[in-house]
Amino acid sequence: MKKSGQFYLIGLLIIVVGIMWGTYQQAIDITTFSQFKPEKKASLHKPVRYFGVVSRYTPREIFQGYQPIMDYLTKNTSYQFELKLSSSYEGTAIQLARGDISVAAFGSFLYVTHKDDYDLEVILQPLNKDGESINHLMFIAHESKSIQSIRDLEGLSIVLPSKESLTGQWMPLYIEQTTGIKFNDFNSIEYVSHHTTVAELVLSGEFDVGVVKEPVAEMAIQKGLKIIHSVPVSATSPLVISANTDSITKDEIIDAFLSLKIQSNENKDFLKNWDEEFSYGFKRSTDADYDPIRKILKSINNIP
Amino acid sequence: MPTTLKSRLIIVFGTLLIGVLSLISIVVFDEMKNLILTKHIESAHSVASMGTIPLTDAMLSKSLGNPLPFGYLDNALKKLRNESSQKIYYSKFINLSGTEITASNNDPVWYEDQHKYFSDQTIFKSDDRWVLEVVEKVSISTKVWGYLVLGFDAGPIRNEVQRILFFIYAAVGGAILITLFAVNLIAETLTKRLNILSSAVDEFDTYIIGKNLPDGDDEIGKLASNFNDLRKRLIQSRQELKDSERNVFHAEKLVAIGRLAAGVAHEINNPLTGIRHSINNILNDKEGTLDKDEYLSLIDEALEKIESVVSKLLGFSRRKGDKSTDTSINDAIITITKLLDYSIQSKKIELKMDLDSDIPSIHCNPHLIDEICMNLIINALDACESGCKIMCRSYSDNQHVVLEIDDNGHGIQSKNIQRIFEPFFTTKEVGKGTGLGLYVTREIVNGLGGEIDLTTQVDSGTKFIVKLPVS
Repeated sequence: MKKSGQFYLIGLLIIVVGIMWGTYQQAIDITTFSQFKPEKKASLHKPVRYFGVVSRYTPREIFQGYQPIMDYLTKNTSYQFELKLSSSYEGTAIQLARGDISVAAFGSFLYVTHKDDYDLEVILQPLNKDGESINHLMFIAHESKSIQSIRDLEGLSIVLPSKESLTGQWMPLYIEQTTGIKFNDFNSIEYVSHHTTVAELVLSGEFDVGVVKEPVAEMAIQKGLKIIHSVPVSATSPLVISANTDSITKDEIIDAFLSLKIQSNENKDFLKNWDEEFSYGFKRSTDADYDPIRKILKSINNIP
Repeated sequence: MPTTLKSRLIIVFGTLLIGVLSLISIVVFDEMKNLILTKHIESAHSVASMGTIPLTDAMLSKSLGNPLPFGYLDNALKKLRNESSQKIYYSKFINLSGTEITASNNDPVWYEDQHKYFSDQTIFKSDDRWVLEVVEKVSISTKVWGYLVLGFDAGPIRNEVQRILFFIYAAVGGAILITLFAVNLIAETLTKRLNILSSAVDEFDTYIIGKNLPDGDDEIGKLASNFNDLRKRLIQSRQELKDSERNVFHAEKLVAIGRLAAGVAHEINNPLTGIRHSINNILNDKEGTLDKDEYLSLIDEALEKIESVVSKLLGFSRRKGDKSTDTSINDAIITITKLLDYSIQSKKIELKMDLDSDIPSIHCNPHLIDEICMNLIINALDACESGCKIMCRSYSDNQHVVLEIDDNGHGIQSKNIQRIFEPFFTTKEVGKGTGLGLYVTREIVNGLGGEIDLTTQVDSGTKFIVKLPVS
């Protein structure tokens, strides 16, 4: 190669090395920025109202299923709604009575038993997926178990939700009345705080049978449990206010829930994130709607 | 810019290669850099996500009305820092208002001053250290209590990026070198055959006797094949040209010999006339009154003259042959002038000679020197009128033998000077010249490696100077 060619190549090499050196610092600069979008709470300046939920689920599950409902209420009322939890069913009733919360998602049994104690008023009750105000209590067992009906429960272990719930209170009596199996005929009976905990214990095999609310039972089916028996109850878990709740708040809550269009495509997406019990809409409710529960309560109280 | 094909190939390919590989490497590096950053950022987010669990639990517990145990959040964050496989410089838990709920004690000052929480993942440099900061929501569903902010040591990320960059530099450099080496080999293979062809073209004269170039099916092979065909045609043309030249030379030779023969004929004719006159007188002397011895002496003198002329002719002819030998230019001048003696005498031209007897001989065919001398002297004779002078001079300047034929004839007009060596150019009357004499002379001189020049002036004469290399 002639000298001119060598000079050309050397020149080219110098340029390449120069470019490499020049771009090196830029190449290894790993500085990055991505815009952070903090939560924008348009409602931050609205007056706050607290919404109570009985401890039928764990606090995490309650926030998971009820926080979107708070967002909905905040958006559709003049208030910013925040969840306020309680460690017991009755704790929620007390919060309501004290005015710590404006409204609460109650258990039907809790309402019936504490209505007069805390001057409670039922305003709405949720509908099930068939549009009826009927609740189902489900007996669940592991798929691998040979249990086919509640008549097979003798000698088995059973786990139930809180004694403060309708399920916890009524099911032993219901089993006895339906099958003749008495309390002492079970190998063991245990009460736990939450419906989901019942499902988990049956799934893990620690108990043979459990009784839960319908939405929990449907989730449990997907995880390997089966439903062996269903008990319809002619009243769903109500939304309850107390005498402390002002009428404006009450009316706005009622309007917001009754105006919810569950069939609307626009709403379907956010309803998926709601606690299933509340995702099929509501109807106005009165105290008389809970007479069937009172009847059950009466039968329980008549046990000597 | 280099002129060789090989250099151009290497430079063009080199430049293209460097350009293309640089572009590719930039794209590849960028992708890899993004992958590395994404991997580390995702990993950091995973750690941060894990870190939010105890904070969320704490917030849930708080939402049940339970007061947080003293130092719970600090301990949770400390545990997170200790258990993380990646070094964490600082950790913070801030609420929605931007108020710090708890903090590690690791450099909060520069962090506060230089960086606000405007990004959920940021890599930046501060105090000579690289920091990957990630922000993770402490939330359940749409409930957000605040943000966990973690500052990871991003030095290892930068080192990894640097390693990738060096690897790409090395890979690209290696690829360039290997490709240039391959291009060099290919260029060498291609140009080797072209160089053979080029050499063959450069040395065409000598290559004529050589073998044919190797041909082939590719472009260079076809070029070589065409070259071989061209060479064959050229050889044929040259042979034809040589034949034509030989014919021209032969024709000119015949003309010159004709001129010589005319002079010789006159030289022989005069003594023959004397002989016939003497014999007639002797035959008619019936009475025997004549002095026969005197006439016989005249006859003998005439025969001697004829013998001399014949002898000169024989001498001239004996010199002819195709073999090269050491030839004296002086001998050639003397022989030619003798043969032209009649023409010289008849025109009453004064012929002078200044021949250096020490000049070296010239190794060539003697016939060629005769041709040169004869053409130039005949040319001088033709240019001279009665009473003119012709000077023949020879000398040597060590490297050349120089012959000068100088006459004081009518000279050459300036318009004709450029054309006198052209074939068939003549200023002589029709039938007296072929126009080939000076052309043939120049061809012979050039063929011997010499040169011919002239000086002339109209009505003053012409001098031809011939320089021939010494053998």
